[in-house]
Amino acid sequence: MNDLPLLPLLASGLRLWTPLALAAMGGVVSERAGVINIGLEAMLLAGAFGGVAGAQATGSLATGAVAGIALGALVGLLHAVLTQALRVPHILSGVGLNLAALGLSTYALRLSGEGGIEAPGLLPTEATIAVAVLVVAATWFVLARTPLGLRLRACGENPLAALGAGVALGPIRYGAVTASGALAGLGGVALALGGLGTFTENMTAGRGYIALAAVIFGRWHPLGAAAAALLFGLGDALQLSLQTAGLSRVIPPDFLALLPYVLTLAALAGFAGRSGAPAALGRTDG
Amino acid sequence: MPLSRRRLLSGMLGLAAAPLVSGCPGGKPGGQPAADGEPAAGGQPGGGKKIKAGLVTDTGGVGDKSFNAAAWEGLQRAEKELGAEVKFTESKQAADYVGNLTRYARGGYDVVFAVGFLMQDALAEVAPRFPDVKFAIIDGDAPPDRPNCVALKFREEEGSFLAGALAGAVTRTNTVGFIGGMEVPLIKKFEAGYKAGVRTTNAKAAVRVGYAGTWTDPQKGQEMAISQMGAGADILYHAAGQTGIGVITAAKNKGEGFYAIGVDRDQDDIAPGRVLTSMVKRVDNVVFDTCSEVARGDFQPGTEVYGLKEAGVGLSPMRHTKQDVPADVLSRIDTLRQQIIAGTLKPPATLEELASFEAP
Repeated sequence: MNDLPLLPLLASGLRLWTPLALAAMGGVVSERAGVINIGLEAMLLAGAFGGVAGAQATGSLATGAVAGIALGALVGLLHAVLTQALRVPHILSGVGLNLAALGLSTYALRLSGEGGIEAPGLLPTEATIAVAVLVVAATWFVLARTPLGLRLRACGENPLAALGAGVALGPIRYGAVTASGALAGLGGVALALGGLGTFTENMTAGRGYIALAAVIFGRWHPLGAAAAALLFGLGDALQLSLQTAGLSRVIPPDFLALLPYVLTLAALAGFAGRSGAPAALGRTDG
Repeated sequence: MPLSRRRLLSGMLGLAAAPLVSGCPGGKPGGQPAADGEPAAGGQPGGGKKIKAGLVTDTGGVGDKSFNAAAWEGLQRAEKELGAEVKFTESKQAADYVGNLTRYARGGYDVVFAVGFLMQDALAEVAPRFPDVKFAIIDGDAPPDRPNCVALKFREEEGSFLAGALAGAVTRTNTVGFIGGMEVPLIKKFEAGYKAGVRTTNAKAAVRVGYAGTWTDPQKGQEMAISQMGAGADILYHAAGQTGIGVITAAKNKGEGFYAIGVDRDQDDIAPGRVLTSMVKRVDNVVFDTCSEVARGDFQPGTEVYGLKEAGVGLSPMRHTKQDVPADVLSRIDTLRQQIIAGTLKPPATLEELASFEAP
């Protein structure tokens, strides 16, 4: 197995994990407050676009990162307005945002001309991985160990009871979904500014949906979702390395590409138990 | 350069014929130049009448800086040099192909381009209903026995062969890489030609191969590239669309001693000095050429295949890397190019052909 060096494999898995995990934390925060977030893809893409475009416009990676997070948060806020104020079904709102984000970012890329959208540098991937680990820990801490986390979870389990107990349902949900956008936006920043430094059309390539799947596989628990995302990232890194090692001569690459999905499914099938979905998830009447 | 010679010749004919055409009562009234406000100049360099040419992309869009963009460039050149009226439509989804093609055919367009093999079925559905409109599909098959359809294809294996020959000669680790987007026959042509080229200049070299499974994921392309470089590859050829941007970035981040090879258009500027060369598909030439054929009334149905000989594929001029490559390597590549043009060397287009390929 000389062709499968362990350390580079782990590093690759962690780099692939980072945007997934950050978006998954966004998914957990939104859904634990009762709002389905299939719009994670839009928020990731907004973060990637805002990050690179912001860095290009200001010449500063830090400003770019802030712009990416802010743009992700803005998409989150839109999702909150659509689902809370306008009572749009959550999935409809999310899918609409995904289409709009793809269309708008692609259009902006066209306007940018031949040079494209390029950042003046790169964020070190070691740093983006470390940030993702901290964000996962912080999400867990806030949800599980703070009064704010308790209130947020109450909004997802039983909004009427929460209201009756004096929880500010509206502000908490607006805050949670906006924060969800900021977290996914940070994931987009990590994807586009960590390692690549460029924005390309639809560069998130479905990571938002994978992150949402990780939330569900991880039973809406921050650590569970992060673990599911990690399995996926490592599985993906493994299948890429197996192709490099020449296994694709024996097994077609399309089958090897299934590896992360199969790994994640198999590992999580072991954690049978209560489903863990917030009881009031996705309801537009409360 | 047979293409340009033909163009020059037809341009001269056009100039000579212009006074005759404008005075000919049987001809179409002036090629409707007044309607769109274009100057009614006689003697277009391409000759013939002013045509209307439409282009329908697949879901990639003309901003892909690659295939669709090059097709649109070809039409824009037809606008400038032939005075053609040109327009494009981007398909939002596969279900739009038929509608988009039909709209142009109904709108009085002389020639409609369908870009990409994905539009094959849509073309077969639309073309028979509009026998007076010419259709050209790029990289796909035309419906059989349709006198108004032409398939425009490329010998990607020929350009890829030269890219591989260059990589084989330049590698210091005797290991090079190939990263494809999806594992489809079209991309296998790139792989087969590349491997044959590597084998021709460096019998000892190994080729690492990976397929990312996506055209739009640069991070995945980058991780694939990092994996191959970890296994010793120092030159990586990509045929992976935007996924390949990650391959080029990986070579750039790794720096000195590592190269990527670009594809479809001249990608040498994306990371100057780190893109050894690009295997360029001159979709623009091919589209322009078809427009001038239609303008001259010289449309040929069937299949036209553009290789090195027809200037349809080739290597980029290597503006940033030429000085890094020894002169004898460059002359070897040129010799191989001449052999392919002369037909004495035929690069394999499939892995089966590769198995029986004998390096010259």
